[in-house]
Amino acid sequence: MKTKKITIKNNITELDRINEKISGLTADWNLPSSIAFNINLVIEEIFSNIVFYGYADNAEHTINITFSTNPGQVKIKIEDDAQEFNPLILPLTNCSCSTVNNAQIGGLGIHIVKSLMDDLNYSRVNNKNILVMSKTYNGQINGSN
Amino acid sequence: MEVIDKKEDGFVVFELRGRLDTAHYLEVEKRLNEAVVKGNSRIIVDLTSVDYISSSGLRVLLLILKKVKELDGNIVLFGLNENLKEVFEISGFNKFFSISDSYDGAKAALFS
Repeated sequence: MKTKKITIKNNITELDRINEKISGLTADWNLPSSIAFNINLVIEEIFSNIVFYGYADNAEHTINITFSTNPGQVKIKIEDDAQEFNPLILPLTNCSCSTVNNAQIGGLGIHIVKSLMDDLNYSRVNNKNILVMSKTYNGQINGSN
Repeated sequence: MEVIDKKEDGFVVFELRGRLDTAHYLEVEKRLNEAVVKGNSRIIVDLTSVDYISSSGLRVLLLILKKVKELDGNIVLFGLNENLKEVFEISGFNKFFSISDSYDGAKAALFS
């Protein structure tokens, strides 16, 4: 199993750095571009939730993201010291409403995370939120698909 | 994020380039808003050069769609890559937006 850990601050401008790291991982681990896209997206959704809603103070906090891979699977662990928040207990709501005007967009990011990942696990340990997400994919190269 | 707009006869085309994410959506929101405030209610958004979108990007597009609908207008998107299409599908946003495969298709949909 290969692993890679990155440490970031609770500042939304860190997104660019996260993207750079994921690009590096994608190349090093030879991940399909669609998986890289999915990883990028779920991390942004969780990270931006932590940054915007997680802290009552204005202090600098540290968030750890650990990536690990086995053939055909990527795991992402996000650890933060923000207020306790289990995204998995939110109901799965997408915009199933019929018109634009009554479209509910609250919880959209978490909905995207739940839809894209195969497995999600939340725990609260030592005053930290720990979210582990995993995604499996077909590790074989199948022609141009 | 680069935003290039082009006024056509009866509509405006916005070509977006880069990542439509939480760190970069504000420029898009600002430029599209300005166009709507000026009375442009028919808008084509070219996403050919957008390789990434998150819920922040979706929210901006929905916000502008609501505004142009109030003016009896519409927004048509085209040029979505497979990853973007998947995000529109899982979020349910493909039900709100007209999505075309080409510029000509988008133009036709805008006036249908």
